[in-house]
Amino acid sequence: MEAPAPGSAPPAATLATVLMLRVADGDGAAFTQLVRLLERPALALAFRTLNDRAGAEDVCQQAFARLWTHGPRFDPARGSAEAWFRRILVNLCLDRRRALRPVQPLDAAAELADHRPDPEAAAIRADGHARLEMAMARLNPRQRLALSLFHGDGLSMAEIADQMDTTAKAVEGLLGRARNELRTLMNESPIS
Amino acid sequence: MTAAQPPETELDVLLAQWAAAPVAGASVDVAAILTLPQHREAPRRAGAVWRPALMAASLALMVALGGWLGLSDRFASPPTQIAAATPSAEAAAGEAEAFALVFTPTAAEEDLI
Repeated sequence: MEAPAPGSAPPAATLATVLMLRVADGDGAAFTQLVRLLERPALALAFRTLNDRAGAEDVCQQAFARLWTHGPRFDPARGSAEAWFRRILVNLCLDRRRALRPVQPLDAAAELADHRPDPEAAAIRADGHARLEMAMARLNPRQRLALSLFHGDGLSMAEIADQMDTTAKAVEGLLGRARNELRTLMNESPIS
Repeated sequence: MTAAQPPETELDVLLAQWAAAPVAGASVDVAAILTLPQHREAPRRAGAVWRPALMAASLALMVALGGWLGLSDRFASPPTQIAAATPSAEAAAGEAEAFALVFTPTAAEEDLI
């Protein structure tokens, strides 16, 4: 099979990769399209990882700025634009989590409501969500990120390992420990 | 009172709901980003081309200088030897002879005297 020419999209390139190649040439319209395509999943991942809306928006802005400024370095032979962008975002999220103490709006977490008709079921469900949110806020940032990439973005162990600069085996361990930690923290949670 | 430990399936359900929760209204400021310059690879400077050659020349010069310093020992004149004999030893060896040599006038000197 013939390798694609440098700077050209591989045969099965995603829309994001095609747009990214235009961004690499300084195409502002392509960048706008790319932002519209990636911003929602990016914000969701950042929010799940940081548990802070304002922080997640900040990180997304920084990640897209880096995508634009470092665009000419994008190489489609080394992976899709989505994977490249997610890697930028993941690094920024981890940097931010390292720099800041965990921030958890505890009142907001406790007030999570579910608009289901059955008040008892709603209360039980809200309680579960609230305990999960509080446990998540106390989780190690890497564990939280791994859970977010696994459950939120549906990535495989190998893909998460690639995003987090580690091995699939390490990700498996990380996810296992995260789940154990979550169960323990949820059990300790004062909400009943 | 502590809540019961959530079973595996309940945790899975909660995690799935947590992950699927929509996050509304992303607000990336595209216009602000587009004002930023893109980092392009700078063309190689002329100096960069000459740098390896310059380093090789410097190395060759150092080797040559080292070699010359090594060879110069072979061709160097023998070191000047400083007389170790003290005046007293010289005097003891032939004081009288030396005295006679200095104070014995030559024929021309005798004519002058």
